[in-house]
Amino acid sequence: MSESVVTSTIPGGTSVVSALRRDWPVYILVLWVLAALLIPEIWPDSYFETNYDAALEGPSLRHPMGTDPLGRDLFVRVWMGARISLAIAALSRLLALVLGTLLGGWAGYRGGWLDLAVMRVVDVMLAFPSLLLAVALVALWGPSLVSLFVAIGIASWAEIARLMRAQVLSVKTTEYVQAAGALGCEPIPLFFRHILPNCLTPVLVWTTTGMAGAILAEAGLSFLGLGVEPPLPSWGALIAQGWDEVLRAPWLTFFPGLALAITVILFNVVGDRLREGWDPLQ
Amino acid sequence: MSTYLVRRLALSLFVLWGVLTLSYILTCLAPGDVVETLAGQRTDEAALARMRERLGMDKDPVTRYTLYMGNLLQGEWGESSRYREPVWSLLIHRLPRTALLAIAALTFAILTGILFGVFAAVFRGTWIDKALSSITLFGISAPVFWIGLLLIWILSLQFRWLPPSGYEGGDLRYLILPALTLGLRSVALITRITRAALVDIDSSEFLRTARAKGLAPIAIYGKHALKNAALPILTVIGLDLGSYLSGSVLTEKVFGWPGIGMLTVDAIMARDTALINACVVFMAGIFVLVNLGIDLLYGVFDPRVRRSS
Repeated sequence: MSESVVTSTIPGGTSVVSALRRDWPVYILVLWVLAALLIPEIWPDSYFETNYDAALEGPSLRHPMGTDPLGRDLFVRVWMGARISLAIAALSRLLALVLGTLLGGWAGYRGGWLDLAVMRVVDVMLAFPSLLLAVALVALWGPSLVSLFVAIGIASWAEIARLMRAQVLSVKTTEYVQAAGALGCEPIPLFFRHILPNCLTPVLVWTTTGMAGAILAEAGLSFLGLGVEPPLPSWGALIAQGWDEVLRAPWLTFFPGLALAITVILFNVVGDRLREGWDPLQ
Repeated sequence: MSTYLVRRLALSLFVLWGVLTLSYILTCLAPGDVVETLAGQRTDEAALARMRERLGMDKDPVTRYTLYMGNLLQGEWGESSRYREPVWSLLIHRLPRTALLAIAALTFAILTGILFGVFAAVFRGTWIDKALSSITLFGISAPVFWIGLLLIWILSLQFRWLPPSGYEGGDLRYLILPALTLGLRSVALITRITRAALVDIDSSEFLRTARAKGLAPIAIYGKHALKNAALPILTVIGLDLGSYLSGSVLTEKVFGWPGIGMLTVDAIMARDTALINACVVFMAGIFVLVNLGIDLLYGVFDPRVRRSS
Protein backbone atom coordinates (compact mmCIF):
# COMPACT_ATOMS: atom_id res chain seq x y z
CA MET A 1 0.00 0.00 0.00
CA SER A 2 2.52 2.61 1.14
CA GLU A 3 4.93 1.43 -1.53
CA SER A 4 2.47 2.08 -4.34
CA VAL A 5 1.78 5.56 -3.00
CA VAL A 6 5.52 6.33 -2.94
CA THR A 7 6.22 5.06 -6.46
CA SER A 8 3.26 6.86 -7.96
CA THR A 9 4.41 10.19 -6.56
CA ILE A 10 7.85 9.99 -8.18
CA PRO A 11 7.54 11.70 -11.56
CA GLY A 12 9.27 10.62 -14.75
CA GLY A 13 10.94 7.24 -14.36
CA THR A 14 8.03 5.23 -13.02
CA SER A 15 5.66 6.39 -15.72
CA VAL A 16 8.01 4.87 -18.30
CA VAL A 17 8.06 1.62 -16.34
CA SER A 18 4.30 1.53 -15.94
CA ALA A 19 3.78 2.45 -19.58
CA LEU A 20 6.16 -0.35 -20.58
CA ARG A 21 4.32 -2.76 -18.31
CA ARG A 22 0.99 -1.68 -19.74
CA ASP A 23 1.86 -1.43 -23.42
CA TRP A 24 4.47 -4.17 -23.90
CA PRO A 25 2.40 -6.06 -26.52
CA VAL A 26 2.38 -2.96 -28.73
CA TYR A 27 6.18 -2.63 -28.56
CA ILE A 28 6.72 -6.33 -29.26
CA LEU A 29 4.34 -6.09 -32.20
CA VAL A 30 6.29 -3.12 -33.61
CA LEU A 31 9.56 -5.05 -33.20
CA TRP A 32 7.93 -8.05 -34.86
CA VAL A 33 6.89 -6.02 -37.91
CA LEU A 34 10.36 -4.41 -38.09
CA ALA A 35 11.90 -7.90 -38.01
CA ALA A 36 9.69 -8.96 -40.92
CA LEU A 37 10.93 -5.95 -42.87
CA LEU A 38 14.63 -6.25 -41.96
CA ILE A 39 15.54 -9.92 -41.52
CA PRO A 40 14.97 -10.98 -45.17
CA GLU A 41 17.27 -8.08 -46.19
CA ILE A 42 20.19 -8.68 -43.82
CA TRP A 43 20.14 -12.46 -43.41
CA PRO A 44 23.07 -14.16 -45.25
CA ASP A 45 20.77 -16.66 -47.02
CA SER A 46 18.12 -15.69 -49.54
CA TYR A 47 14.60 -17.11 -49.36
CA PHE A 48 14.67 -18.63 -52.87
CA GLU A 49 18.20 -19.89 -53.61
CA THR A 50 18.43 -23.67 -53.34
CA ASN A 51 21.42 -25.61 -51.97
CA TYR A 52 21.02 -29.37 -52.27
CA ASP A 53 24.12 -30.04 -50.13
CA ALA A 54 22.29 -28.58 -47.12
CA ALA A 55 18.85 -30.21 -47.58
CA LEU A 56 16.73 -31.09 -44.53
CA GLU A 57 19.25 -30.02 -41.89
CA GLY A 58 17.97 -29.74 -38.32
CA PRO A 59 17.93 -26.45 -36.40
CA SER A 60 21.45 -25.13 -35.77
CA LEU A 61 23.19 -21.80 -35.14
CA ARG A 62 23.69 -21.36 -38.88
CA HIS A 63 20.07 -22.29 -39.68
CA PRO A 64 17.99 -21.55 -36.53
CA MET A 65 14.91 -23.29 -37.94
CA GLY A 66 16.68 -25.86 -40.12
CA THR A 67 16.50 -26.17 -43.91
CA ASP A 68 13.83 -27.46 -46.30
CA PRO A 69 14.13 -30.30 -48.89
CA LEU A 70 15.69 -27.85 -51.36
CA GLY A 71 18.27 -26.71 -48.79
CA ARG A 72 16.71 -23.28 -48.32
CA ASP A 73 17.06 -21.68 -44.89
CA LEU A 74 13.66 -21.91 -43.13
CA PHE A 75 14.39 -18.94 -40.83
CA VAL A 76 14.60 -16.42 -43.65
CA ARG A 77 11.66 -18.05 -45.41
CA VAL A 78 9.51 -17.73 -42.28
CA TRP A 79 10.35 -14.03 -41.96
CA MET A 80 9.77 -13.45 -45.65
CA GLY A 81 6.45 -15.24 -45.16
CA ALA A 82 5.75 -12.85 -42.26
CA ARG A 83 6.24 -9.91 -44.58
CA ILE A 84 3.83 -11.35 -47.16
CA SER A 85 1.20 -12.47 -44.67
CA LEU A 86 1.28 -9.12 -42.83
CA ALA A 87 1.08 -7.19 -46.10
CA ILE A 88 -1.91 -9.20 -47.36
CA ALA A 89 -3.68 -8.99 -44.00
CA ALA A 90 -3.09 -5.22 -43.63
CA LEU A 91 -4.18 -4.44 -47.21
CA SER A 92 -7.29 -6.60 -46.84
CA ARG A 93 -8.22 -4.77 -43.63
CA LEU A 94 -7.70 -1.44 -45.37
CA LEU A 95 -10.00 -2.52 -48.19
CA ALA A 96 -12.61 -3.77 -45.71
CA LEU A 97 -12.32 -0.48 -43.81
CA VAL A 98 -12.87 1.65 -46.91
CA LEU A 99 -15.76 -0.50 -48.23
CA GLY A 100 -17.39 -0.87 -44.83
CA THR A 101 -17.04 2.77 -43.82
CA LEU A 102 -18.34 4.19 -47.08
CA LEU A 103 -21.19 1.72 -47.66
CA GLY A 104 -22.29 1.38 -44.03
CA GLY A 105 -21.78 5.05 -43.26
CA TRP A 106 -23.53 6.38 -46.33
CA ALA A 107 -26.42 3.92 -45.83
CA GLY A 108 -26.88 5.05 -42.23
CA TYR A 109 -26.60 8.71 -43.21
CA ARG A 110 -29.08 8.71 -46.10
CA GLY A 111 -31.45 6.10 -44.62
CA GLY A 112 -34.51 5.01 -46.60
CA TRP A 113 -34.34 2.39 -49.35
CA LEU A 114 -30.55 2.76 -49.71
CA ASP A 115 -30.08 1.84 -46.05
CA LEU A 116 -32.47 -1.08 -46.44
CA ALA A 117 -30.68 -2.38 -49.55
CA VAL A 118 -27.15 -2.09 -48.15
CA MET A 119 -28.10 -3.72 -44.87
CA ARG A 120 -29.74 -6.68 -46.63
CA VAL A 121 -26.52 -7.14 -48.64
CA VAL A 122 -24.66 -7.05 -45.31
CA ASP A 123 -26.99 -9.78 -43.97
CA VAL A 124 -26.22 -11.94 -47.01
CA MET A 125 -22.46 -11.37 -46.71
CA LEU A 126 -22.51 -12.32 -43.03
CA ALA A 127 -24.34 -15.58 -43.78
CA PHE A 128 -22.01 -16.49 -46.67
CA PRO A 129 -19.20 -18.72 -45.32
CA SER A 130 -16.31 -16.23 -45.51
CA LEU A 131 -13.46 -18.69 -46.09
CA LEU A 132 -15.40 -20.27 -48.96
CA LEU A 133 -16.10 -16.86 -50.48
CA ALA A 134 -12.39 -16.07 -50.36
CA VAL A 135 -11.53 -19.49 -51.80
CA ALA A 136 -14.01 -18.96 -54.65
CA LEU A 137 -12.70 -15.46 -55.43
CA VAL A 138 -9.04 -16.52 -55.41
CA ALA A 139 -9.88 -19.56 -57.55
CA LEU A 140 -11.65 -17.16 -59.92
CA TRP A 141 -8.82 -14.62 -60.25
CA GLY A 142 -5.87 -16.98 -59.84
CA PRO A 143 -3.64 -16.81 -56.77
CA SER A 144 -1.60 -13.61 -56.46
CA LEU A 145 -0.89 -11.07 -53.75
CA VAL A 146 -3.55 -8.72 -55.11
CA SER A 147 -6.30 -11.32 -55.54
CA LEU A 148 -5.61 -12.65 -52.02
CA PHE A 149 -5.99 -9.32 -50.26
CA VAL A 150 -8.97 -8.26 -52.37
CA ALA A 151 -10.71 -11.60 -51.71
CA ILE A 152 -10.12 -11.46 -47.95
CA GLY A 153 -11.17 -7.79 -47.86
CA ILE A 154 -14.39 -8.47 -49.76
CA ALA A 155 -15.17 -11.42 -47.51
CA SER A 156 -14.92 -9.27 -44.37
CA TRP A 157 -16.24 -5.73 -44.95
CA ALA A 158 -19.81 -6.48 -43.79
CA GLU A 159 -19.07 -6.38 -40.06
CA ILE A 160 -17.41 -2.97 -40.40
CA ALA A 161 -20.36 -1.68 -42.43
CA ARG A 162 -22.78 -2.75 -39.73
CA LEU A 163 -20.72 -1.11 -36.98
CA MET A 164 -20.20 2.06 -39.01
CA ARG A 165 -23.92 2.38 -39.71
CA ALA A 166 -24.75 2.10 -36.01
CA GLN A 167 -22.18 4.83 -35.27
CA VAL A 168 -23.55 7.13 -37.94
CA LEU A 169 -27.12 6.67 -36.69
CA SER A 170 -26.11 7.95 -33.27
CA VAL A 171 -23.78 10.74 -34.47
CA LYS A 172 -26.38 11.96 -36.99
CA THR A 173 -28.66 13.17 -34.19
CA THR A 174 -26.01 15.20 -32.34
CA GLU A 175 -26.39 18.95 -32.13
CA TYR A 176 -23.24 19.83 -34.03
CA VAL A 177 -24.39 17.81 -37.05
CA GLN A 178 -27.85 19.39 -36.86
CA ALA A 179 -26.20 22.80 -36.62
CA ALA A 180 -23.95 22.17 -39.63
CA GLY A 181 -27.00 21.08 -41.63
CA ALA A 182 -28.97 24.13 -40.52
CA LEU A 183 -26.07 26.40 -41.59
CA GLY A 184 -26.45 25.02 -45.11
CA CYS A 185 -23.66 22.43 -45.24
CA GLU A 186 -24.14 20.18 -48.30
CA PRO A 187 -24.77 16.44 -47.58
CA ILE A 188 -21.45 15.16 -48.93
CA PRO A 189 -19.15 17.61 -47.10
CA LEU A 190 -21.34 17.19 -44.01
CA PHE A 191 -20.82 13.44 -44.13
CA PHE A 192 -17.08 13.49 -44.77
CA ARG A 193 -16.15 16.49 -42.60
CA HIS A 194 -18.49 16.24 -39.63
CA ILE A 195 -19.92 12.73 -39.34
CA LEU A 196 -17.18 10.41 -40.57
CA PRO A 197 -14.35 11.64 -38.28
CA ASN A 198 -16.58 11.29 -35.23
CA CYS A 199 -17.50 7.69 -36.06
CA LEU A 200 -14.05 6.39 -36.78
CA THR A 201 -12.61 5.43 -33.37
CA PRO A 202 -14.57 2.19 -32.79
CA VAL A 203 -14.37 1.35 -36.48
CA LEU A 204 -10.59 1.68 -36.49
CA VAL A 205 -10.35 -0.41 -33.32
CA TRP A 206 -12.48 -3.10 -34.93
CA THR A 207 -10.33 -2.99 -38.07
CA THR A 208 -7.19 -3.59 -36.01
CA THR A 209 -8.83 -6.42 -34.07
CA GLY A 210 -9.67 -8.04 -37.37
CA MET A 211 -5.98 -8.29 -38.35
CA ALA A 212 -5.82 -11.58 -36.43
CA GLY A 213 -8.66 -13.03 -38.49
CA ALA A 214 -7.19 -11.73 -41.75
CA ILE A 215 -3.82 -13.35 -41.02
CA LEU A 216 -5.57 -16.65 -40.24
CA ALA A 217 -7.64 -16.38 -43.43
CA GLU A 218 -4.53 -15.85 -45.55
CA ALA A 219 -2.87 -18.81 -43.84
CA GLY A 220 -5.92 -21.01 -44.47
CA LEU A 221 -6.03 -20.05 -48.15
CA SER A 222 -2.33 -20.67 -48.71
CA PHE A 223 -2.60 -23.95 -46.79
CA LEU A 224 -5.27 -25.01 -49.30
CA GLY A 225 -2.82 -24.19 -52.12
CA LEU A 226 -4.27 -20.76 -52.95
CA GLY A 227 -1.40 -18.65 -51.62
CA VAL A 228 1.13 -16.46 -53.43
CA GLU A 229 3.12 -18.19 -56.19
CA PRO A 230 6.28 -20.06 -55.14
CA PRO A 231 9.14 -19.48 -54.50
CA LEU A 232 7.57 -16.66 -52.47
CA PRO A 233 6.82 -18.23 -49.09
CA SER A 234 3.68 -17.75 -46.99
CA TRP A 235 3.03 -19.32 -43.63
CA GLY A 236 0.17 -21.58 -44.67
CA ALA A 237 2.09 -22.88 -47.67
CA LEU A 238 5.23 -23.40 -45.56
CA ILE A 239 3.22 -25.51 -43.10
CA ALA A 240 1.67 -27.54 -45.93
CA GLN A 241 5.05 -28.12 -47.61
CA GLY A 242 6.69 -28.92 -44.26
CA TRP A 243 4.05 -31.55 -43.55
CA ASP A 244 5.20 -33.56 -46.59
CA GLU A 245 8.49 -34.12 -44.76
CA VAL A 246 7.07 -34.52 -41.25
CA LEU A 247 8.68 -37.89 -40.59
CA ARG A 248 12.19 -36.69 -41.45
CA ALA A 249 11.90 -33.00 -40.52
CA PRO A 250 9.03 -32.14 -38.14
CA TRP A 251 10.54 -28.68 -37.50
CA LEU A 252 9.44 -27.63 -40.99
CA THR A 253 5.83 -27.88 -39.82
CA PHE A 254 6.44 -26.57 -36.33
CA PHE A 255 8.27 -23.24 -36.78
CA PRO A 256 6.07 -21.56 -39.43
CA GLY A 257 2.97 -22.37 -37.36
CA LEU A 258 4.64 -21.03 -34.22
CA ALA A 259 5.49 -17.75 -35.97
CA LEU A 260 1.91 -17.55 -37.20
CA ALA A 261 0.46 -18.27 -33.73
CA ILE A 262 2.72 -15.68 -32.03
CA THR A 263 1.77 -13.02 -34.57
CA VAL A 264 -1.94 -13.67 -34.15
CA ILE A 265 -1.56 -13.69 -30.34
CA LEU A 266 0.15 -10.28 -30.49
CA PHE A 267 -2.63 -8.82 -32.63
CA ASN A 268 -5.30 -10.31 -30.36
CA VAL A 269 -3.68 -8.87 -27.22
CA VAL A 270 -3.19 -5.43 -28.76
CA GLY A 271 -6.74 -5.54 -30.14
CA ASP A 272 -8.12 -6.37 -26.68
CA ARG A 273 -6.20 -3.44 -25.18
CA LEU A 274 -7.53 -1.07 -27.82
CA ARG A 275 -11.07 -2.29 -27.25
CA GLU A 276 -10.79 -1.81 -23.49
CA GLY A 277 -9.62 1.75 -24.09
CA TRP A 278 -12.54 2.49 -26.37
CA ASP A 279 -15.42 0.65 -24.72
CA PRO A 280 -16.48 2.54 -21.57
CA LEU A 281 -18.45 -0.49 -20.37
CA GLN A 282 -15.31 -2.49 -19.64
CA MET B 1 -44.13 -13.08 -30.92
CA SER B 2 -45.76 -14.45 -34.07
CA THR B 3 -45.26 -11.29 -36.21
CA TYR B 4 -41.67 -11.23 -35.04
CA LEU B 5 -41.30 -14.86 -36.03
CA VAL B 6 -42.80 -14.26 -39.47
CA ARG B 7 -40.45 -11.32 -40.07
CA ARG B 8 -37.44 -13.34 -38.96
CA LEU B 9 -38.43 -16.22 -41.25
CA ALA B 10 -38.91 -13.87 -44.21
CA LEU B 11 -35.51 -12.31 -43.61
CA SER B 12 -33.92 -15.78 -43.39
CA LEU B 13 -35.44 -16.80 -46.71
CA PHE B 14 -34.24 -13.55 -48.27
CA VAL B 15 -30.71 -14.14 -46.98
CA LEU B 16 -30.66 -17.66 -48.43
CA TRP B 17 -31.83 -16.32 -51.79
CA GLY B 18 -29.10 -13.67 -51.66
CA VAL B 19 -26.40 -16.22 -50.84
CA LEU B 20 -27.56 -18.41 -53.70
CA THR B 21 -27.57 -15.50 -56.15
CA LEU B 22 -24.11 -14.34 -55.07
CA SER B 23 -22.80 -17.88 -55.43
CA TYR B 24 -24.44 -18.14 -58.87
CA ILE B 25 -22.88 -14.88 -60.04
CA LEU B 26 -19.45 -16.02 -58.83
CA THR B 27 -19.65 -19.30 -60.70
CA CYS B 28 -20.80 -17.48 -63.86
CA LEU B 29 -17.85 -15.11 -63.70
CA ALA B 30 -15.31 -17.94 -63.85
CA PRO B 31 -13.14 -17.46 -66.95
CA GLY B 32 -12.99 -20.07 -69.71
CA ASP B 33 -15.67 -22.31 -71.13
CA VAL B 34 -17.05 -24.76 -68.59
CA VAL B 35 -18.32 -27.07 -71.30
CA GLU B 36 -14.94 -27.32 -73.03
CA THR B 37 -13.25 -28.01 -69.70
CA LEU B 38 -15.77 -30.76 -69.04
CA ALA B 39 -15.64 -32.35 -72.48
CA GLY B 40 -11.89 -32.40 -72.76
CA GLN B 41 -9.75 -31.13 -75.64
CA ARG B 42 -10.49 -33.53 -78.48
CA THR B 43 -14.25 -33.09 -78.76
CA ASP B 44 -15.74 -31.92 -82.06
CA GLU B 45 -17.97 -28.86 -82.37
CA ALA B 46 -21.22 -30.83 -82.78
CA ALA B 47 -20.66 -32.76 -79.57
CA LEU B 48 -19.81 -29.53 -77.76
CA ALA B 49 -23.01 -27.92 -79.04
CA ARG B 50 -25.08 -30.93 -77.92
CA MET B 51 -23.50 -30.78 -74.51
CA ARG B 52 -24.07 -27.03 -74.28
CA GLU B 53 -27.73 -27.55 -75.06
CA ARG B 54 -28.06 -30.40 -72.57
CA LEU B 55 -26.52 -28.25 -69.79
CA GLY B 56 -28.46 -25.17 -70.92
CA MET B 57 -25.23 -23.28 -71.53
CA ASP B 58 -26.39 -22.00 -74.95
CA LYS B 59 -28.66 -19.41 -73.35
CA ASP B 60 -27.72 -16.02 -71.89
CA PRO B 61 -26.90 -15.75 -68.14
CA VAL B 62 -30.17 -14.09 -67.11
CA THR B 63 -32.31 -16.78 -68.76
CA ARG B 64 -30.11 -19.46 -67.21
CA TYR B 65 -30.52 -17.83 -63.81
CA THR B 66 -34.32 -17.76 -64.14
CA LEU B 67 -34.39 -21.38 -65.29
CA TYR B 68 -32.07 -22.40 -62.45
CA MET B 69 -34.23 -20.66 -59.85
CA GLY B 70 -37.36 -22.23 -61.33
CA ASN B 71 -35.79 -25.66 -61.09
CA LEU B 72 -34.72 -25.04 -57.51
CA LEU B 73 -38.25 -24.11 -56.51
CA GLN B 74 -39.38 -27.46 -57.91
CA GLY B 75 -36.76 -29.21 -55.80
CA GLU B 76 -34.49 -29.81 -58.80
CA TRP B 77 -30.96 -28.90 -57.69
CA GLY B 78 -29.15 -30.15 -60.75
CA GLU B 79 -26.38 -32.64 -61.30
CA SER B 80 -22.73 -32.45 -60.31
CA SER B 81 -20.65 -32.23 -63.47
CA ARG B 82 -17.79 -34.04 -61.77
CA TYR B 83 -19.54 -36.94 -60.06
CA ARG B 84 -22.46 -37.17 -62.55
CA GLU B 85 -24.83 -37.55 -59.65
CA PRO B 86 -27.67 -35.35 -58.35
CA VAL B 87 -26.09 -32.82 -55.96
CA TRP B 88 -28.68 -33.59 -53.30
CA SER B 89 -27.67 -37.23 -53.05
CA LEU B 90 -24.01 -36.16 -52.76
CA LEU B 91 -24.88 -33.73 -49.97
CA ILE B 92 -27.11 -36.22 -48.13
CA HIS B 93 -24.36 -38.82 -48.40
CA ARG B 94 -21.75 -36.48 -46.89
CA LEU B 95 -24.01 -34.79 -44.34
CA PRO B 96 -23.91 -37.44 -41.56
CA ARG B 97 -20.10 -37.31 -41.57
CA THR B 98 -19.88 -33.53 -41.16
CA ALA B 99 -22.75 -33.58 -38.67
CA LEU B 100 -20.97 -36.27 -36.62
CA LEU B 101 -17.78 -34.20 -36.60
CA ALA B 102 -19.58 -30.95 -35.75
CA ILE B 103 -21.69 -32.48 -32.98
CA ALA B 104 -18.66 -34.18 -31.41
CA ALA B 105 -16.65 -30.94 -31.59
CA LEU B 106 -19.52 -28.84 -30.25
CA THR B 107 -20.19 -31.20 -27.35
CA PHE B 108 -16.51 -31.20 -26.43
CA ALA B 109 -16.39 -27.39 -26.75
CA ILE B 110 -19.49 -26.66 -24.66
CA LEU B 111 -18.66 -29.11 -21.85
CA THR B 112 -14.99 -28.14 -21.59
CA GLY B 113 -15.57 -24.45 -22.22
CA ILE B 114 -18.22 -24.03 -19.52
CA LEU B 115 -16.20 -26.10 -17.07
CA PHE B 116 -13.06 -24.03 -17.69
CA GLY B 117 -15.08 -20.80 -17.55
CA VAL B 118 -16.60 -21.70 -14.17
CA PHE B 119 -13.15 -22.65 -12.85
CA ALA B 120 -11.65 -19.38 -14.09
CA ALA B 121 -14.46 -17.38 -12.45
CA VAL B 122 -14.37 -19.27 -9.14
CA PHE B 123 -10.57 -18.99 -8.89
CA ARG B 124 -10.49 -15.46 -10.28
CA GLY B 125 -7.08 -13.79 -10.02
CA THR B 126 -5.24 -16.98 -9.01
CA TRP B 127 -2.74 -18.90 -11.11
CA ILE B 128 -5.55 -21.19 -12.35
CA ASP B 129 -7.33 -18.18 -13.87
CA LYS B 130 -4.11 -16.89 -15.43
CA ALA B 131 -3.17 -20.29 -16.85
CA LEU B 132 -6.64 -20.71 -18.35
CA SER B 133 -6.55 -17.25 -19.91
CA SER B 134 -3.17 -18.00 -21.53
CA ILE B 135 -4.49 -21.29 -22.88
CA THR B 136 -7.60 -19.64 -24.31
CA LEU B 137 -5.53 -16.87 -25.91
CA PHE B 138 -3.46 -19.56 -27.63
CA GLY B 139 -6.63 -21.45 -28.58
CA ILE B 140 -8.19 -18.52 -30.43
CA SER B 141 -4.89 -17.48 -32.04
CA ALA B 142 -3.29 -20.68 -33.34
CA PRO B 143 -4.53 -21.77 -36.77
CA VAL B 144 -6.89 -24.76 -36.75
CA PHE B 145 -4.96 -26.76 -39.33
CA TRP B 146 -1.62 -26.32 -37.53
CA ILE B 147 -3.09 -27.54 -34.23
CA GLY B 148 -4.49 -30.52 -36.14
CA LEU B 149 -1.11 -31.34 -37.66
CA LEU B 150 0.61 -31.03 -34.25
CA LEU B 151 -1.97 -33.38 -32.70
CA ILE B 152 -1.36 -35.91 -35.48
CA TRP B 153 2.40 -35.59 -35.03
CA ILE B 154 2.28 -36.09 -31.25
CA LEU B 155 -0.58 -38.57 -30.75
CA SER B 156 -0.40 -40.57 -33.99
CA LEU B 157 3.17 -40.45 -35.24
CA GLN B 158 5.08 -40.31 -31.92
CA PHE B 159 2.87 -42.25 -29.49
CA ARG B 160 0.79 -44.18 -32.05
CA TRP B 161 -2.32 -43.93 -29.88
CA LEU B 162 -4.75 -42.81 -32.58
CA PRO B 163 -4.94 -43.17 -36.36
CA PRO B 164 -3.59 -40.05 -38.15
CA SER B 165 -6.33 -39.55 -40.72
CA GLY B 166 -9.16 -41.15 -42.65
CA TYR B 167 -12.78 -41.95 -42.05
CA GLU B 168 -13.14 -45.75 -42.09
CA GLY B 169 -16.93 -45.92 -41.98
CA GLY B 170 -17.34 -43.81 -38.87
CA ASP B 171 -14.93 -45.72 -36.60
CA LEU B 172 -14.89 -43.49 -33.50
CA ARG B 173 -11.11 -43.66 -33.07
CA TYR B 174 -10.86 -41.68 -36.30
CA LEU B 175 -13.24 -39.06 -34.92
CA ILE B 176 -11.30 -38.05 -31.79
CA LEU B 177 -8.49 -35.95 -33.31
CA PRO B 178 -10.60 -33.98 -35.83
CA ALA B 179 -13.25 -33.27 -33.19
CA LEU B 180 -10.61 -32.01 -30.71
CA THR B 181 -9.07 -29.85 -33.43
CA LEU B 182 -12.33 -28.35 -34.62
CA GLY B 183 -13.63 -27.76 -31.08
CA LEU B 184 -10.52 -26.15 -29.64
CA ARG B 185 -11.23 -22.61 -30.81
CA SER B 186 -14.78 -22.80 -29.44
CA VAL B 187 -13.48 -24.10 -26.12
CA ALA B 188 -11.41 -20.94 -25.85
CA LEU B 189 -14.27 -18.63 -26.82
CA ILE B 190 -16.80 -20.31 -24.53
CA THR B 191 -14.33 -20.28 -21.60
CA ARG B 192 -13.80 -16.55 -22.05
CA ILE B 193 -17.45 -15.61 -22.35
CA THR B 194 -18.51 -17.91 -19.48
CA ARG B 195 -15.93 -16.35 -17.19
CA ALA B 196 -16.90 -12.83 -18.23
CA ALA B 197 -20.62 -13.48 -17.81
CA LEU B 198 -20.13 -15.07 -14.38
CA VAL B 199 -17.91 -12.22 -13.17
CA ASP B 200 -20.50 -9.77 -14.51
CA ILE B 201 -23.36 -11.05 -12.39
CA ASP B 202 -21.12 -11.72 -9.39
CA SER B 203 -22.33 -8.72 -7.41
CA SER B 204 -26.05 -9.38 -8.00
CA GLU B 205 -28.36 -9.85 -5.06
CA PHE B 206 -29.45 -13.40 -5.75
CA LEU B 207 -25.82 -14.51 -5.63
CA ARG B 208 -25.36 -12.68 -2.32
CA THR B 209 -28.38 -14.57 -1.01
CA ALA B 210 -26.97 -17.86 -2.26
CA ARG B 211 -23.69 -17.10 -0.50
CA ALA B 212 -25.49 -16.03 2.66
CA LYS B 213 -27.31 -19.39 2.66
CA GLY B 214 -23.84 -20.95 2.83
CA LEU B 215 -23.88 -22.73 -0.52
CA ALA B 216 -20.56 -24.04 -1.81
CA PRO B 217 -18.94 -21.95 -4.58
CA ILE B 218 -19.41 -24.74 -7.11
CA ALA B 219 -23.15 -24.89 -6.35
CA ILE B 220 -23.46 -21.11 -6.52
CA TYR B 221 -21.73 -20.83 -9.86
CA GLY B 222 -22.78 -24.14 -11.36
CA LYS B 223 -26.45 -23.80 -10.57
CA HIS B 224 -27.55 -20.24 -9.90
CA ALA B 225 -25.09 -18.08 -11.79
CA LEU B 226 -24.69 -20.26 -14.86
CA LYS B 227 -28.40 -20.16 -15.66
CA ASN B 228 -28.24 -16.38 -15.82
CA ALA B 229 -25.08 -16.46 -17.90
CA ALA B 230 -26.74 -18.66 -20.54
CA LEU B 231 -27.67 -15.84 -22.93
CA PRO B 232 -24.19 -14.50 -23.74
CA ILE B 233 -22.84 -18.07 -23.96
CA LEU B 234 -25.56 -19.01 -26.45
CA THR B 235 -24.88 -15.88 -28.48
CA VAL B 236 -21.19 -16.68 -28.76
CA ILE B 237 -21.90 -20.26 -29.85
CA GLY B 238 -24.22 -18.95 -32.57
CA LEU B 239 -21.84 -16.26 -33.80
CA ASP B 240 -18.97 -18.72 -33.81
CA LEU B 241 -20.79 -21.15 -36.03
CA GLY B 242 -19.64 -19.30 -39.12
CA SER B 243 -16.01 -19.91 -38.22
CA TYR B 244 -17.02 -23.47 -37.39
CA LEU B 245 -18.09 -24.07 -40.97
CA SER B 246 -14.86 -22.53 -42.28
CA GLY B 247 -12.90 -24.50 -39.71
CA SER B 248 -14.54 -27.71 -40.85
CA VAL B 249 -13.18 -27.09 -44.36
CA LEU B 250 -9.60 -26.97 -43.06
CA THR B 251 -10.09 -29.70 -40.44
CA GLU B 252 -11.59 -32.08 -42.97
CA LYS B 253 -8.70 -31.33 -45.32
CA VAL B 254 -6.07 -32.06 -42.64
CA PHE B 255 -7.67 -35.30 -41.46
CA GLY B 256 -8.90 -36.54 -44.83
CA TRP B 257 -12.44 -36.54 -43.42
CA PRO B 258 -14.72 -36.74 -46.48
CA GLY B 259 -17.44 -34.34 -45.34
CA ILE B 260 -19.19 -31.33 -46.80
CA GLY B 261 -16.24 -28.97 -46.26
CA MET B 262 -13.97 -31.12 -48.44
CA LEU B 263 -16.77 -31.57 -50.98
CA THR B 264 -17.18 -27.79 -51.31
CA VAL B 265 -13.49 -26.98 -51.73
CA ASP B 266 -13.10 -29.76 -54.30
CA ALA B 267 -16.19 -28.47 -56.11
CA ILE B 268 -14.76 -24.93 -56.24
CA MET B 269 -11.44 -26.19 -57.59
CA ALA B 270 -13.21 -28.35 -60.21
CA ARG B 271 -15.70 -25.54 -61.10
CA ASP B 272 -18.58 -27.87 -60.40
CA THR B 273 -21.20 -25.11 -60.56
CA ALA B 274 -24.33 -26.91 -59.37
CA LEU B 275 -22.44 -28.53 -56.54
CA ILE B 276 -20.80 -25.26 -55.41
CA ASN B 277 -24.17 -23.50 -55.24
CA ALA B 278 -25.80 -26.34 -53.35
CA CYS B 279 -22.94 -26.62 -50.82
CA VAL B 280 -22.77 -22.88 -50.18
CA VAL B 281 -26.52 -22.56 -49.74
CA PHE B 282 -26.50 -25.59 -47.49
CA MET B 283 -23.84 -24.09 -45.21
CA ALA B 284 -25.53 -20.68 -45.17
CA GLY B 285 -28.81 -22.45 -44.40
CA ILE B 286 -27.29 -24.12 -41.34
CA PHE B 287 -25.87 -20.77 -40.22
CA VAL B 288 -29.24 -19.03 -40.61
CA LEU B 289 -31.18 -21.87 -38.95
CA VAL B 290 -28.90 -22.02 -35.92
CA ASN B 291 -29.08 -18.28 -35.39
CA LEU B 292 -32.86 -18.42 -35.72
CA GLY B 293 -32.95 -21.25 -33.18
CA ILE B 294 -30.76 -19.29 -30.78
CA ASP B 295 -33.04 -16.27 -31.05
CA LEU B 296 -35.94 -18.50 -30.07
CA LEU B 297 -33.94 -20.09 -27.23
CA TYR B 298 -33.47 -16.62 -25.72
CA GLY B 299 -37.14 -16.77 -24.82
CA VAL B 300 -36.71 -20.15 -23.14
CA PHE B 301 -33.81 -18.99 -20.98
CA ASP B 302 -35.05 -15.49 -20.26
CA PRO B 303 -38.79 -15.03 -19.53
CA ARG B 304 -38.40 -11.26 -19.98
CA VAL B 305 -37.66 -11.75 -23.70
CA ARG B 306 -40.79 -13.90 -24.03
CA ARG B 307 -43.05 -11.32 -22.42
CA SER B 308 -41.67 -8.22 -24.10
CA SER B 309 -42.06 -9.58 -27.62
